Amino acid sequence: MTASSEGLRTPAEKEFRSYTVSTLLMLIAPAVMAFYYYRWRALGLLAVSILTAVLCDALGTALMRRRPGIDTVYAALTGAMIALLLPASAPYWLPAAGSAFAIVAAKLPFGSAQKTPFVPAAAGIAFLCVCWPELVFTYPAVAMEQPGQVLVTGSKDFVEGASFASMLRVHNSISGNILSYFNAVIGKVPGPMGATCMLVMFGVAIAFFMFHSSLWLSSAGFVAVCSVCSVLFPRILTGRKLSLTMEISAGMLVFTALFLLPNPATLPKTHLQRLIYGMAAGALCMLLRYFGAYEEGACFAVLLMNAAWPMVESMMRDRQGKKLPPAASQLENGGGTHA
Amino acid sequence: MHDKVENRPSGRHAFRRGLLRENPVLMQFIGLFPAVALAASVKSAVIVALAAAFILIVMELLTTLLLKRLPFWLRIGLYVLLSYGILAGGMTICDRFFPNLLGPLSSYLPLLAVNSLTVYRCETCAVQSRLRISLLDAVGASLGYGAVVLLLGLFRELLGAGAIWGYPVFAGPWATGLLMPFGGFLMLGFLAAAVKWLYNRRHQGEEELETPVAHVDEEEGSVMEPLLRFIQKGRSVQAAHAQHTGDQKQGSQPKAHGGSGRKMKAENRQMPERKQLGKKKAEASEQATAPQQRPAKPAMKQKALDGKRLPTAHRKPESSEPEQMPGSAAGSQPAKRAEKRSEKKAGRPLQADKTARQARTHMPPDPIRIQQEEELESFAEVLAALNRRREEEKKAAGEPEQKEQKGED
Amino acid sequence: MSWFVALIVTAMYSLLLQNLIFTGGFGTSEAIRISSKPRYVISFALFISGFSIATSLICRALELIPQIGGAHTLVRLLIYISVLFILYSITVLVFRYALHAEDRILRKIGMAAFNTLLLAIPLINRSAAYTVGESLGAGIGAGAAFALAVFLIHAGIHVLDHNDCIPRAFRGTPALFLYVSLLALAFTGFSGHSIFV
Repeated sequence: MTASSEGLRTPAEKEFRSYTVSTLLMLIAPAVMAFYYYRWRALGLLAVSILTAVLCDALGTALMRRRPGIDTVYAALTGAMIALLLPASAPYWLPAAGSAFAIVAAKLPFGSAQKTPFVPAAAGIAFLCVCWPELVFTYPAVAMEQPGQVLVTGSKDFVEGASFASMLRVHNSISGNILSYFNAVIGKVPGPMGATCMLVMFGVAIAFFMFHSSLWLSSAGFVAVCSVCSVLFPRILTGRKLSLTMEISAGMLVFTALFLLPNPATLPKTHLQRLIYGMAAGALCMLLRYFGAYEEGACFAVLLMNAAWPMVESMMRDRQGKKLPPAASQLENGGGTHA
Repeated sequence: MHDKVENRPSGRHAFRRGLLRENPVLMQFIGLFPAVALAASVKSAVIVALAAAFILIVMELLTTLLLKRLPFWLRIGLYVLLSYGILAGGMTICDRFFPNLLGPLSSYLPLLAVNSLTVYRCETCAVQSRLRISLLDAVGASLGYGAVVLLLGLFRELLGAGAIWGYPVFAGPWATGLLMPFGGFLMLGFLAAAVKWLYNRRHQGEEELETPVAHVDEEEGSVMEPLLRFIQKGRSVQAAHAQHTGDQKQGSQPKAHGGSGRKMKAENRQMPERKQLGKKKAEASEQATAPQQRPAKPAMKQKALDGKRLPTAHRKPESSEPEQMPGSAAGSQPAKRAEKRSEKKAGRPLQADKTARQARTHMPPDPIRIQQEEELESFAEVLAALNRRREEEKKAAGEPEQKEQKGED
Repeated sequence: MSWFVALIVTAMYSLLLQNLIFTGGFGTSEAIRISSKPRYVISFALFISGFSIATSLICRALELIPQIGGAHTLVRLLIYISVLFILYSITVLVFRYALHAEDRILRKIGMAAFNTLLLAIPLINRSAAYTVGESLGAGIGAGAAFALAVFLIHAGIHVLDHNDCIPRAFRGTPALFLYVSLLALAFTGFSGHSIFV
């Protein structure tokens, strides 16, 4: 049930450890791009977020009288994800608050990282969106002439940039020239500091496919449905190609697909279920973008699917007449069809 | 909500249980709406707590004095009407002497009239207790509820608006999201954990503070059970009647059989008389012989809503004889055996006997009836097992409470 | 046809965009308590839906009468509660005397009839100035929202029951409260605000 001693780990625990470590390593690429555009401020936000998450986890683990293990690495991963989804102009307390909420409210009360019913990083970002939307969705303009001069949101001389997500919300479009596409690919657009560079995201996706081929189906389904929705129901009038480019490049979509969604603790067991899970999350993400209160809804979509999938599983279970435990604890028995 | 019949508590026990162990909000999920939606500031929390306490105390007293003797289903409706009357009167007086005190709360404060706190406490305590115990229970529950609501309001206003009672305390980033219901649930979660930790620490070595509401309870049934039984009863009586009389008196089908009778009418209109008679005889004989071939399933699993046949209960070896003798001639002997068997199990709870008696009095003596009696017997066995288990649990729960009472007294 | 579209839109609004249970907090006690009893879930949700549709329709229709529509808030609320009482009485009498329902079933009907969700629907219909068709949609949406909430919370209880790693202090109600709070947070992505902020 709980994490076994070293050398006696179940396949599920081993897979979770491998996922945590490899994802943390994969996050280096978006962190490097964030440093490239925003210099030491990006690193500062990352450091604060990771430190807060690790400290909260260590304190909670000590209170529960448990030994620190992979959960501490997972806490660092959570902190890094939260920081990279925030604007570089966010104040330092913002990622700290998000990380603290993610660990204290969404991870520690449910025991271990492998048993959390919700992805803690998604919960942390959602909490920040609800409490401080003006700080989370206000991005600084990308100034390559003075890359290190990033001011805090709301301060004097702060220059706000228009992110793709905010433009889509008011049905504005970028110009269709090659430079616009190029900027979207290299990430030279206002947005979350670790989520704008599509080139890096593409590289991460390939690495993901190579190292965690069983998990990539949910990401693929997510991005596929978002792409289809952006083509079928464009929010701008300048063409479906631009709509597709803007929707996929906007906000936290791809980052969520690669890092938040494919969490082994919350993913379903089989390949087909994971694909359906990802597709449903993609549909919810686009629904939230079109009708929700905020310009970005990917984190909320992840939370909704985390809650909805056990409901679907219980219905399937009742129909088949089985009495099986849910997905999260299935991993304990080494369940799942990992490639 | 009204599942368990509480033992009569002492005054001190009645007062103290509502504070911690049976705290309405934290342990029993009662009265959540005012806590998570209305109590977003200290002022709102005070108003909500006072209103809930006032309604609860008055209603428990009224219930003990006046409403005890009414049937419970009528009482539940009266709770709501009387609570609203009390609340409306209080709000009117408040508006007259303290205008603008309620503010935005005035739109949704009347929803306290349908607060589950009042109904639950009245049904579990006031109906079964004397006046003094009811009063102490109401005061204890009100204090427990009020304390939680006040703490919620305090933390939410402090962290969500940086103020207490509208007076700013600190200027800084406020988590405005905590003012939403999600913030209320969040605070309740941590409050409940703190209470549980304190309780477990204080009662180390004793039974942990259990919260049955937060766990899956597989022993309950469906609200549709009476309807399903009604439909099943109608069909079996229909089949038995047709087999006995051997004719189709469509107009004489008793109205109590409801939908099944009307369905038979619609079907019968379409077929010639001889064919219908043959069909019914074939159905009746099928019902008499089919139980041997059906797999053994517990009687509680019913899927009759889609018109399929209900599965029969598990059949004992000695029950096979009556099924092989269709027709009314052999009906009396199996009926006597069924009666003897029911007499043997005279120690069963009253409800099972009553159900069996009702089935016997309403059913004609025939194999269909015997089949139903067998089903009722197994159903009675299931009920008996459930009741025995509940008694054991009560005894187990009653021992620490008795120890507690002895310690208190 | 436009009334049908309005009905569907209002129903979806009550179900998702302004989920009355998670965003408004209405009927959460009943939703959580019935979620732990899986065999009651569907039938209870059906009762809530039925009561919500009937209450919504009847109360909105009554408000078309000028004397009722222009009455004081407290008087109108009394009328709403009376409508609920009558609906409940009819249902209980049918179940008790025609179907011979046991006491525990009648108690569940009482729980389904008298809760903050059902009383809030006519209040919201009036404050949003819904037409009769939209009120019907609001009733349907409220019932669907309750059913969705119950199924989601029931699945959550099942997940938490199978989780042995939960710390002792969080087992039971604390973990369930936190689960529901994260669910409510997820639905806040649609609504973004609450009625009481």
